[in-house]
Amino acid sequence: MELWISAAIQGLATGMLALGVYLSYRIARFADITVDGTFTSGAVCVALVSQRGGSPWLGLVAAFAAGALSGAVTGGLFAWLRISDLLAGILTMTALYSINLRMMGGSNLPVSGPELVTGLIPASIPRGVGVMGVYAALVVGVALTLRAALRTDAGLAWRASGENLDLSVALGIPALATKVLVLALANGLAAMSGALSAGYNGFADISSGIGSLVTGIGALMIGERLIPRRGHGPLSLEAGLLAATLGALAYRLLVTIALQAGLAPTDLRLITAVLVLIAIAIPRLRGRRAA
Amino acid sequence: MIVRMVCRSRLRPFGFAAVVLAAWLSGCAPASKGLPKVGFAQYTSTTSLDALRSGFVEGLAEGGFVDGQSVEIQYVNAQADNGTLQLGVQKLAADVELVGLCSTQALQAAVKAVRDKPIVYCGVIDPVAAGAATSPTSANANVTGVYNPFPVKEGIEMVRKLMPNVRKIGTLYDPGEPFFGQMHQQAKDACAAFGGEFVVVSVTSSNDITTGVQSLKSQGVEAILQLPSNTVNQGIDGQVKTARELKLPIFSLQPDQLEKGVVAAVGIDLRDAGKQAGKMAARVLKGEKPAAIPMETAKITPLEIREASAREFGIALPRP
Repeated sequence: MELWISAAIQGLATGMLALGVYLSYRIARFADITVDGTFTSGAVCVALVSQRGGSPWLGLVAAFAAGALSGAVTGGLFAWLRISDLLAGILTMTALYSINLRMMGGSNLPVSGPELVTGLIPASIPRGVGVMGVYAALVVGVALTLRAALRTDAGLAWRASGENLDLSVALGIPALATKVLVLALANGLAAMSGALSAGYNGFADISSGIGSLVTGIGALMIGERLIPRRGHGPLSLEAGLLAATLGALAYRLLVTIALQAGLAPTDLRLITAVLVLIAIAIPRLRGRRAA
Repeated sequence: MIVRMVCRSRLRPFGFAAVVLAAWLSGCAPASKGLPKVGFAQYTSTTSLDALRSGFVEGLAEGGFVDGQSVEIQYVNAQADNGTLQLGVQKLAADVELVGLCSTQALQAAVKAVRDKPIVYCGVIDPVAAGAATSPTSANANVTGVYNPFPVKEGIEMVRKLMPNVRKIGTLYDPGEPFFGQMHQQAKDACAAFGGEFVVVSVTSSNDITTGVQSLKSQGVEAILQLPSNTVNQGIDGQVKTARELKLPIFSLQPDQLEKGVVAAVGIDLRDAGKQAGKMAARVLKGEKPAAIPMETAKITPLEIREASAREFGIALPRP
């Protein structure tokens, strides 16, 4: 049972990343690889704050701020230096590798001291359940906040500038500044994801962020397949946010199933890929038969 | 019945895949014979980590626990993913009686996830930094194992023994790897002690190695003492080749690199270190408390010289 709770916690931490990637990849239409660096930055922030005896909540806030700053740099490179989205992300990500190392003073740093759940959950509840509850509340809270924000006039402008930059500019939306803002938010969430993951796993590692963009997009796509839809139009805002979270959870649960199967440890990634394929193919084929 | 249903539907190709998969899974699942269960977790596959693992299994066998006969070993390889590592260790915590592991990341994950079962580690440079101990002599109650601080000082002595006039020694290093700072400091101190200098050129992938060696040479380095690094290990062949072209003698802290053409090495045989830990695990399985077994350091192998390389680099060997 503990194993499944642990998988859910990992899934929730990844869910925060997927929400960030949803913002950059689906809302801003920007393949932003900065997250590979900001995920680690978030982990580093929470480890550093914990080493100095600070509260894990402070670590989480610091992670968001550091991530948002890096996201704004990528956005700035794109918006004002006219550097293409991929290159801008690659540049920031590359720089972040050194910055993260410098901040940690090494490649690996343990997270010590109290956890996010400490003091929130009575001691009678097991640690895993407590962490799962707090992480779930955080992810749902962020998803609901995003939903509310994206439905305001400003939020509509964010979405419009992702859909069609030229038209948004013509409509008087400060479209480039908007992109910078959305990227900052997206990377803030990615960093929070790194912080949640490091807080639970107990350490920050320089390599932990590598592959974050792929993981995030992967979770998003799995989630989008898992949600039943009518017709071929794009998913609604709510469905998109739900897809990000569900996809991340599903991915981690499938990894756990693969682990549980007890096969040769080297086959783990292959079996995970096959399970993901089956999970997304079955609803799709069923849908085709009904049509 | 289910198979027939699946086959009839349009899901046929996937149903088929699922059946094959199920067969594969059930075939692979370890048969339970009521043997004691031991887990072994590693972060990813590298030559070093694999050597530690096979050493561990050997040590267990020497201690009387042969895989498949008198013990059942479950392996976890997280394939370089921290989340998977955490899940894998958690799974072991639920399934087995003792968690063996190698690498710092795996130890950190286990310290969090495994609270009431013994942990026996190897391949860790600093158990205190990993959170498994408060000092080298006092590990957490359920932890014991073998740690291997790299013999940097012994390495510098080795270079001076074979090249008595050397002043500038250098290494390539990937600053993204664990314990770089620590080893770098030791090397600097050891060089400063005889009035020499230690130079580091950083590389971030094995593609940078050739340029890195040239850069060491241009900075006036007279000998390379390669500090252990996974990134550089991947390109050791290229490094030795370039060093040969530049007539820059290269020394190692990994005895297994002698066959790659380095002049000499002192170091830790990782397989032996794994074996040492495996024997400790066997003692724990026989009923000893981990707290009663002090942590050990891996044994340093004596200086080994590859005469052919020494000649190539023009180094006169000390008379025995």
